[in-house]
Amino acid sequence: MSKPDIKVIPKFIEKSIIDTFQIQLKSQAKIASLTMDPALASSKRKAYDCLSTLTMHSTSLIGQLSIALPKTTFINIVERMIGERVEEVTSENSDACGEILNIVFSSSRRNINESGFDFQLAIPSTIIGQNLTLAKANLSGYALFFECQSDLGDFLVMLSLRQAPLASAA
Amino acid sequence: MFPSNTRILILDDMSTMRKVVTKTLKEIGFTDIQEAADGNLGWDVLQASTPPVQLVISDWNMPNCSGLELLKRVRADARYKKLPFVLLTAEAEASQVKEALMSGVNNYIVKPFTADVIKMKLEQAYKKVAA
Repeated sequence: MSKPDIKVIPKFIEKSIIDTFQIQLKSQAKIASLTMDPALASSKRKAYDCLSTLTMHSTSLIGQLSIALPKTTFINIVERMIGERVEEVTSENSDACGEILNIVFSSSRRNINESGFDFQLAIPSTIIGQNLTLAKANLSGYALFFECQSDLGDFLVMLSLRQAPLASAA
Repeated sequence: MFPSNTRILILDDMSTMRKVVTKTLKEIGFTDIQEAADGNLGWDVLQASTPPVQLVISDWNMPNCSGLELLKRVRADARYKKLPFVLLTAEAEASQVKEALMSGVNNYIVKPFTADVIKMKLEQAYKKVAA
């Protein structure tokens, strides 16, 4: 059986970001730029106030998928989701960020796995704070920054992947 | 379709998602909505609710007691054998759907969803229950 192509992964994640915004948030989102260079991504990077991340794990690849929202984008998203006024990012409402990431990952995982991968279920963790940044931690692997624009505000999605230890030993 | 005064129990460990589902159900026209954060708490609500819960919409992945575990517990109890039960999930792998159907789920909703999708899924569930 041929080795699955890693290039399908960002393609399905991009589709899932767009679908999630369109269906769940009734909002239009687009990927303004895709870069593998964290320096380029950081040159345009805003301060983020809510960041969710999950670990991606398969037989051949491991990595992380993260989403970072500035406060204004977060507030616009949560207000759209729940139909209530939101003033701040709080520990109670920050699960919205994790839920968006969960939907993006889960719906793309279905397509990715149909392409030959076997990524497992993952649970997002969320951090709130001020001036959070996404740094490229996966220096030995593949990192991709999705600079996203939507009518609810800008946000960033980062995908990092590398070969799983057992896969590289095989 | 379920009447607008149907008592609905929503289960999700994420409070924001409970609010999202509640808002969507209100848009559809439902008025009597209860919430709980996992299957164990949901089971307690089921037992204590007066009037009784008439429809459960549960997230699949929750800590302590998942939606599927609650479904199995519900179907094993004679009082709730016919209680309409809909699972809400971001996952929709064929094996999972099969397991849910084997366990007696009446329908499932895949995230992301719209109000129209929820309405259609509830109509389908109602037809199955009424048949």
